[in-house]
Amino acid sequence: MNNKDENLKELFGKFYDAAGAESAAEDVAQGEKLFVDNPAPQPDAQLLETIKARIYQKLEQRTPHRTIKVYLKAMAAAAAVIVIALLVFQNPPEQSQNGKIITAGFTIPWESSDLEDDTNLSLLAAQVQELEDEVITLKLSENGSDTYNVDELESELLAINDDFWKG
Amino acid sequence: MKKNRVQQDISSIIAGCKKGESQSFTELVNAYSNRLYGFFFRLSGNKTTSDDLLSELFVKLVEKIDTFGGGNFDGWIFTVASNIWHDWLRNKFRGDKALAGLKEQTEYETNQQKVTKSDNEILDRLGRELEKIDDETRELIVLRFYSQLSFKEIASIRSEPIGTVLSKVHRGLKKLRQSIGQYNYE
Repeated sequence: MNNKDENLKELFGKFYDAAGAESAAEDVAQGEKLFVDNPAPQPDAQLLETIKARIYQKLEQRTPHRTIKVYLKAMAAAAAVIVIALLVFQNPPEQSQNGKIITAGFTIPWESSDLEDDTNLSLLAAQVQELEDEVITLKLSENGSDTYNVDELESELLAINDDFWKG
Repeated sequence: MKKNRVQQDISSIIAGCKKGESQSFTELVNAYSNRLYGFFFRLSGNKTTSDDLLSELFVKLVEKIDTFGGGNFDGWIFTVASNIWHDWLRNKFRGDKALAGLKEQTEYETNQQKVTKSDNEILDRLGRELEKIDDETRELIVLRFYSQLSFKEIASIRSEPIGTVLSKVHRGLKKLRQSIGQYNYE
């Protein structure tokens, strides 16, 4: 708001009575007219040119500072990204929030209290056991020495049995 | 309508200054130098001091312009001018105090008297009468006239109640008017 838009009478009216407000507003208006009637000197053209030259000089000095500031900001941002990346990759996955979610995803079915789930689990365990036995049998049958040892042991047992009855 | 256009012009000048455009600073100097010079001259009563303070203000603005966060630019720039004036007063006071302690005190006082006398010689009647008013009231009167701010805005930037500002300016201007009227009568 410019002071020329101000209603001085109204403003002074908040502090004085009507007559006092009018008189005060008149004092201010007439007092300020003294400044209009007695203008201050204006700055010399030479002074203004000198000021402008100093401003240009200052602006030139300021430009490298601004460039350096931009570089420093970019470097700080890059450093922050590197630090965050190192922190993320160095930590084991289960320590991270995502890792926790994945682990929880695998464990949830096994924690079920549903009886059907428990039966399925038993069947699955039995099938796994069967598969393990079959794998062992196959391995034993593949291994010639093992087969030989079983046959030899059987022959020895038969011989021991015959010897026993013969006295 | 015209006021809005002026405000838009000032806004675009300030935006240019913030980008570091020299042309915008030139426009800023052209737009504000007369009023700011009047402000410094009516407070100091001295052309050389006013020259120095005006230069200091505009050079400082190159650094400070980024801190202007919008609002009334006239209020902001005259607050900066007022701060520069107070800094100058403080430095002058310290300088005077230090000089007063020197052995050449007598010589200094003689020179000061000469300076004051020569300053007064160039002062007009208004300047001489303004010097008789207390510093605070004088600054308010001068700020009000040259900044063209409203009483409400002046009260806001000076952190003073509006009633106090009104009262001081009214009393000061009334005294000024009476003394100059008396001078005219004589």
